[in-house]
Amino acid sequence: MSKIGKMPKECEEYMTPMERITGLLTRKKLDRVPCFPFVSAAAAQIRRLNYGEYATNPDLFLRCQIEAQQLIGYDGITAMPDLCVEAQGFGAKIIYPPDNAAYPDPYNPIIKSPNDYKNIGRLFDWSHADRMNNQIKVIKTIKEELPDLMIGGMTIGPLGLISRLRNVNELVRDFAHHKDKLHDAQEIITDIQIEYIEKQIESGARTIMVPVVLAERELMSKEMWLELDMPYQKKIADFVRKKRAFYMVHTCGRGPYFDLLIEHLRPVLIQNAFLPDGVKTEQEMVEKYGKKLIFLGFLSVSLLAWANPHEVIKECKRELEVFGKSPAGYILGASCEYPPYAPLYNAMAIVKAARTYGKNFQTGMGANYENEGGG
Amino acid sequence: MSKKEILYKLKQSVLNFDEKTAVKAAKEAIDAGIDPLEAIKDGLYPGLKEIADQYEQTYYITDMILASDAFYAGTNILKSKIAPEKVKAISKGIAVLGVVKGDVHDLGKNMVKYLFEAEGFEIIDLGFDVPAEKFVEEAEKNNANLILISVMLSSMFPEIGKIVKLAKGRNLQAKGVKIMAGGGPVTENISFQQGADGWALTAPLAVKKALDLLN
Repeated sequence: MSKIGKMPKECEEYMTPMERITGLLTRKKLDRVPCFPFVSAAAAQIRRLNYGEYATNPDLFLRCQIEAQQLIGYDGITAMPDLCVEAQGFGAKIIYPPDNAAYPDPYNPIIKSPNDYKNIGRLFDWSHADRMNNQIKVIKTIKEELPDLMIGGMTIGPLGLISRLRNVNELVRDFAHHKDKLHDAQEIITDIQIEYIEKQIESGARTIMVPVVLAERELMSKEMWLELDMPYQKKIADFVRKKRAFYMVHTCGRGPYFDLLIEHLRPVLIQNAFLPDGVKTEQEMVEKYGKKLIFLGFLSVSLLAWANPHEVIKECKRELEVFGKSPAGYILGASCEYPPYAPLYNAMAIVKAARTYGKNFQTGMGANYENEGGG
Repeated sequence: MSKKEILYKLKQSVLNFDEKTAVKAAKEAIDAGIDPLEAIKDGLYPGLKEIADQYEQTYYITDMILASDAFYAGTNILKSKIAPEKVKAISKGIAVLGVVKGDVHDLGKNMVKYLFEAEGFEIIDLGFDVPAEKFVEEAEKNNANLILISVMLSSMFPEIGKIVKLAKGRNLQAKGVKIMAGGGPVTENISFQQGADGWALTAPLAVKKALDLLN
């Protein structure tokens, strides 16, 4: 293992996390680079809870999120315990294993045949959407208790949700054989998700992160994404902007279509686990897309899970050198959710690296869609 | 219709994701006296191979699934006319395949299954949420040449190591059984850190890697 040698002195922080991230988004000079390790389920470690306890008890979830942030010192929280929050609102039976993230019962999908798509609106009711209501309360409480923190909301998007209500193998076949029914369902779901986003923003979420994971070479062609997913994702993106919150995109598959995401969704920031489609190096990613939007990442989950803090700091330093000068801006962080089982000292190492190698951070110009026209 | 035309029709049925034509052409092949194995090998399989070779360039997951549906529609008709001993005789190997415990994402696993079967492997499909012990027990019971581990959740990476450890405990690797791991977040590095013999980025590449490992 190579050592990083004597580290420079850490910076004196004079900005709050909120000032730091809004400063980045609005082109101000920062005390240090903002950081976001995306500690979600891993926060359960703070109270030695298993994931099941953490995901089903909103009070414990809340306390873990607050305590993890206070212990580690990162700049933002995205309040979502797993990707099944919305599926529960549609009546999916959610399984909460003690040692892993929650998932919908794979043997009993809510949508059993394409004919069930038309009834999807009837499945949802705010009165039994306990997990969505809990998340809204969590955002509100974090906002009250930690007013200086950047709190993010989230939705998994219409097709993301359908993939939790329908067997995915069958859903893929529906992409080809039952497009019309799928479009009808997505129309209904999008409106519900917009209502959910509105409630999150009203409760204090300043950013909305949406995993747009189908816009990836690994999953579908550009043409298919434009036809099946884009119109609904765009509706969500436009709504977030209308509510004056920051719209952010997460992708975690191979070859995300940055060109399409930029053209149609116009995110202020993107968090990606793999290089964009058509891009071969990190440098090329910065050159090709760095003027358009802010990057968040690019620390791999395997590094966070298996490396030691020295190695994490060394990689942070390297990434700051590559992405730190990206024209629109950069947030140092994980490329996907911090692995639930990864030691939290590696999240601390990210913050240490930000304070050490990202001090007096010359922020970028912010996302730039001035030449794109429209909103 | 000539033999060449029927084989071409079989191939096109896969390329066009057309299950009905695949069934029709498979029946025509049987009626025309074409060896069912040849109809699979030189008719249906080249269609699927063409799609696999252009995976993530011209064709994507949806195409692979739909093409596989057509491939199986034709293969099921043809296979009913092949003696099981003959299928065994031309088998390229036996592979135990599953998604690790705690993980229910089986789309990638199914793609691997389709392509390995099309290539001529006998697949023991264990499904998803499979305990490590089950992979090893089934590999031993079926004299498998390969253990194929699919993982979609990064939290489940340690399951790969668990399977490798159990396989080592039963001397499976020493007996020539190769272990491969793959899936969305699994990198080559992770796969080797966990002790696997092989890794591939995509399902089509996994077939090539498996053939390399076994040769």
